[in-house]
Amino acid sequence: MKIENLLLLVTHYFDINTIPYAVVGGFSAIVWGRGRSTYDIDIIIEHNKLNFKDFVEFMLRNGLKTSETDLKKAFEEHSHATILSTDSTIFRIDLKGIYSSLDRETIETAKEINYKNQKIKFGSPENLIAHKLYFGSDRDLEDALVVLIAQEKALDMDYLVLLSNKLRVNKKLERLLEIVKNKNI
Amino acid sequence: MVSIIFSFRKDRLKDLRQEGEITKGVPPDQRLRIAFEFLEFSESLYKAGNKNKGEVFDED
Repeated sequence: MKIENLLLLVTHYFDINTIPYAVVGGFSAIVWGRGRSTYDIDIIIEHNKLNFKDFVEFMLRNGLKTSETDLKKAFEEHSHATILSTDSTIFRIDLKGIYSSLDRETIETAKEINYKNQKIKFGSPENLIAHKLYFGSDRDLEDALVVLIAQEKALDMDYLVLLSNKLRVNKKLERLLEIVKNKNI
Repeated sequence: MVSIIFSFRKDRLKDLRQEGEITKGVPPDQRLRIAFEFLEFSESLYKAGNKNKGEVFDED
């Protein structure tokens, strides 16, 4: 299955079943301005609203592999469940539940993007930048920088600062802003 | 707690700034479409590479 169809299919399921979700990670970075590769679609869902049996049947009918056991185990362990396609695609979906108030906030502040007549919810750019600063790998910091530049005028700076304080990355945010503003760095 | 302050290599920073400026004018749906095209292409290269090595792609 094409990765595009994978994303459209699974988010459509969440929409028609009124399961709050947000696409986060690499695809969120792409949507907000970072041109980069990724092989997984990371999604946070309100797992308590998921009808496991129905979801698994839907996935299987559409050529995707998952099981009730794997999903329940992942959510219980506050981990992620991987959904693979039965064809040979290298792409996959990683589903994560709401495990913290920040996960809930990610879903509640998600932004809708219209793609191929379907509205897909992505974690906000503020959320992406703050979390990328929190994770802190070289790639994460590059993602945060590019998205900050690309979204500079559209960002809710008050919210970004608030979120950065919650994640205790306020110093990193200050540094990132300094880098963006000072072209001589 | 002391936060770790980071930096970027100068040439890398130049590229990243440029990327951010270029992508400013591109709507999110277009960014997604471009990404999908690139990812499909990279998958086809990956599969072709595996075939050429005589390896069997994991279909499980």
